Amino acid sequence: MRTKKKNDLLTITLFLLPALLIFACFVIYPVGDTMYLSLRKWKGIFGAAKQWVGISNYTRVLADENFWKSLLNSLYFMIGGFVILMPLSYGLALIITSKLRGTKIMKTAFFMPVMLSTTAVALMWVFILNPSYGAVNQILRAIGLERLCKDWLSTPTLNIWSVILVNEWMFAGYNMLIFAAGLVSIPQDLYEAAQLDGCTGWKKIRYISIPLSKESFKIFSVLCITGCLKTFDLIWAMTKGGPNRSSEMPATLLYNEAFTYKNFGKSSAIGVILLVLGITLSLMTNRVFRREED
Amino acid sequence: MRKRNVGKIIIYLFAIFWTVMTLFPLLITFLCSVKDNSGITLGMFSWPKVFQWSNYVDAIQAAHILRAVMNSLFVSLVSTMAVIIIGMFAAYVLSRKKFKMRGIIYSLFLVGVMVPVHCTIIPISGMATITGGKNTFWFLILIYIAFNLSQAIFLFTGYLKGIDKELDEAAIIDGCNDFQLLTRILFPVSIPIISTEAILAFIYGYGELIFAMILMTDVNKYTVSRAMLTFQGGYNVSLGPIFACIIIAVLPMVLIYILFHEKVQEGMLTGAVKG
Amino acid sequence: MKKMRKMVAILLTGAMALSLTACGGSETESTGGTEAAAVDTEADDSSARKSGDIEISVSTRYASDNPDESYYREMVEKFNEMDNGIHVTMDNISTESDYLDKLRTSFANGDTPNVFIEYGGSRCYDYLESDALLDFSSYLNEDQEWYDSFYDSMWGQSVYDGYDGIYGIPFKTYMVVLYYNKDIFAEQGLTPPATFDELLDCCAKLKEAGINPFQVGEKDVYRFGHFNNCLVVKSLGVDGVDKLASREIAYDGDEMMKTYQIMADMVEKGYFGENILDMDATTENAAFEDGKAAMHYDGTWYIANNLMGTDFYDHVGVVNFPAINAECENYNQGGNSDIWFASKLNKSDEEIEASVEFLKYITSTEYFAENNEVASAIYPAKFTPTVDTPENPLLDEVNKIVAATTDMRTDIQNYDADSSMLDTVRNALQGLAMGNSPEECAKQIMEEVNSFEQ
Repeated sequence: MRTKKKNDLLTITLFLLPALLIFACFVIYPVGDTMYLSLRKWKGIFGAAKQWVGISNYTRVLADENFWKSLLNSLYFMIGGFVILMPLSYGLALIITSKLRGTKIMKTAFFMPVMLSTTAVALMWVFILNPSYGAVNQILRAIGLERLCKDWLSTPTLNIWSVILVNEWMFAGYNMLIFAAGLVSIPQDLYEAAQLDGCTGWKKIRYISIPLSKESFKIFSVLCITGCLKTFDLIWAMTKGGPNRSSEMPATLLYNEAFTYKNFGKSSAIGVILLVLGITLSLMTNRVFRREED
Repeated sequence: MRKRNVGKIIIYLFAIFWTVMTLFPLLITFLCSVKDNSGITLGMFSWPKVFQWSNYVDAIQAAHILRAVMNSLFVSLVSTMAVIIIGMFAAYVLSRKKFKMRGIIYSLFLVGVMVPVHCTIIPISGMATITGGKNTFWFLILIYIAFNLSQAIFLFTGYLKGIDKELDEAAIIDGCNDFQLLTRILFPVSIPIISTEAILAFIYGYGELIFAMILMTDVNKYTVSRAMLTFQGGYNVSLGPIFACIIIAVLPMVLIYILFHEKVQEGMLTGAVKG
Repeated sequence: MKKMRKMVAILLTGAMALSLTACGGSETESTGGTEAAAVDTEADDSSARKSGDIEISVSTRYASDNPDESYYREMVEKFNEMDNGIHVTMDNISTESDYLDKLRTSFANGDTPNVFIEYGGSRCYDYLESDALLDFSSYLNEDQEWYDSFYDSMWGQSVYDGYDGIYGIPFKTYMVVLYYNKDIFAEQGLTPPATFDELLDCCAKLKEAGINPFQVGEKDVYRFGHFNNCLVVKSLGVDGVDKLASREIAYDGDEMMKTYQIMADMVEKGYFGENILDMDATTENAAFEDGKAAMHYDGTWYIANNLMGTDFYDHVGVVNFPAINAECENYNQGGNSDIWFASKLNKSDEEIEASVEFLKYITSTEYFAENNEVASAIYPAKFTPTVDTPENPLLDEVNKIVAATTDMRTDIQNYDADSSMLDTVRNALQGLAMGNSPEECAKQIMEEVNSFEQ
């Protein structure tokens, strides 16, 4: 018995070692470095002293109105993620794993936006959303809904939601893959048994697919929450955080503090706050899912 | 029966709608790839007046996009394979073994999906300087592995947990050790999730910009997104060639996506046992 | 299904093999994992490095196909072919944010390029504070000819209060001028504006005729930034810029409020065009070139980058940016847009010597004269144009304006001690385009001013 335990320990160590090593170097060490810097003032020049300033970086970040505004924008992203992206991706996953015809083309199409890169997607949507010649407003005008025409990317709050919708459009295919992997592993005989019991269509989804996809939903939730906290690329490409800072995200603030203003201490403080928020929210999500289990 | 048909029609309509919505950009990207700047900025959706194929020549000659595609393929394929192997081994332990630190280690990996990338740039490139990792592919590959590992372990552990333990027990009775159990039994059963993660990790490595830009100075080692920067000037942007680059770069990606996704479906056919 | 698996395998090995031959290059220091990649070294790295050469790295944003940027790269290759014991490795990243990412990272890690391009101004204070920049004064003293080849006024951005020495070598110069579409002006019977009131007059008439006076791409915040710079310089003069930096003039004082008010009014009347927040500078250029706007204020680089060699060239006229206050007529927004700096962080003496030699080469009058052939512009250095220099009447006009200019300032926040002012002001001005009042604009700027003082 003892050798088995010893063996187990060896297996555990050996199997985990490569992952832990890479992780320690490229994730844990940078995180440690960020924490260290967050308590110091540093202009980002090698050899220059990293002067201890206590928690003043944190107090400055927390006193910054823009930071709170950016957190609110993150919250919008999360709401969009759960209300729009999750049902949408799950629906798409159901479609591509179904026996419908044409799923081969569909699943390639659905994933296309992610493959085309943020550059192309952003450029295109900025064009589509342009208030004067963009497709959205032109369609609205054509069907007589002129008063719904908006300056989609330049009106505060509205611009965040516009980017959120583009984000959901872009990443629906991405999350579809995660859901699809869970769906295909649900044994076929469960569905067959349900069919015999008279369960069809929506009922099959409601009573078999959704309950058995719980793990996928949990993974989606954590990835969505953490992803929303560090959103950068799409917003940077579409609005650069503007106009007048109205679409600033925590990550764009962090970026600017470090690489535009060279306030590496303050930037690191934002990083640490995001990390703490992310961990807290993920733990809460886990708890919610665990409670459901009970 | 009729009610079902209506439902089916609605689903079809939605699926077709979304297909058009998502395929549309491909068409637009293609059209833009044969236009000049004013053709794009003043009429992105119009049919090009003249097909300016020279954008493709520019993409190939000025940005060396073909070589960049090869570099990107190399980096992302190697890192993808490594992510899967390393991730599966770790996930196996985290889902099958009971030990003291399990919760902590699992949460530790969770941190990986939360770190804002801009926090890591300076420490990581500092390491690259010290280890001579600048301008080398292996260092870039290691970074891509690290940034995909969290999600991979996350997905794999969740999936493995869902696989019926009977399978393990049967294998152990047959005399399988951990290594054999993982490679012979669990790997094949996990093909759907492995393929999924492979696609995601591949996409990440293929399109990543920041580290590829900061670590690579040698023109011969540019990856796709780095090469595309050639056309974005401070006061001047050549949009046509950028779109041409995107079209060239997307082709291998689509191919790989289709091949991998075939595997996701395959999982269904082999009928993975899940309880 | 088996067939599929085989295909994946073939594809993977194929891709690997291809990339092995594809990603060769000048990899000689290869460590570990990539030996395979180094197999193929035939490479198009034309400037084969000689052994014993001193290696220096040079970072710029000159990666595009604009004539002057291509010329720069050509000349560096030429430098490498010379038998001077120096090999230059270029790193050119054109996008500003990416370039800064890399530059900042390199400074943080102590692995900086030997020579690099920056904008000067307060954004470079931090380098000086940490003693990371090379002082060129001893080299310039030794080589008086080098120093004298530049216009005196161009050295202004290379010196810093509180630090002895000259830290930058000027490379590119610009001035903001007003371009106009001659056809539209002729059709409407307008003459190019000489004063700001005349400009507003033109705007009113154009607008009445249904033509956009300007079509600004304010998605790029520097567009309004430049307009405000011009307003300040043309109403308060260069003194005003200095007083703003020393806070003698406040950003919420009457003088500045007037400039915000002018811009707010122009926004309201639609003089800047439609949906300006949804257009970037590239679109702005395209709109002007397409005849969709009558005027366009821009740097002198616009001629070489966008007009030379196009049919549109002959339809453009250029004038001095109109003055608000007649006394300030000959003050302009302009100066060095690109300045060379050399790092001494972790650099050996040989490398520093080599850096200086490279800089002498790349800022020689010969370089500027030849550059002028492919991309005529205004330069920080004096030289006689070569006979091959193409005719460029627009630039001749610009040069007249330059000659009449008595003093200039670049982005006014560049002189501010607070390096984040540039962004703050530009973002606040962008607010005007959203319909913010001048008071709100001033308030946003003052918040930053106050928090910096604390």
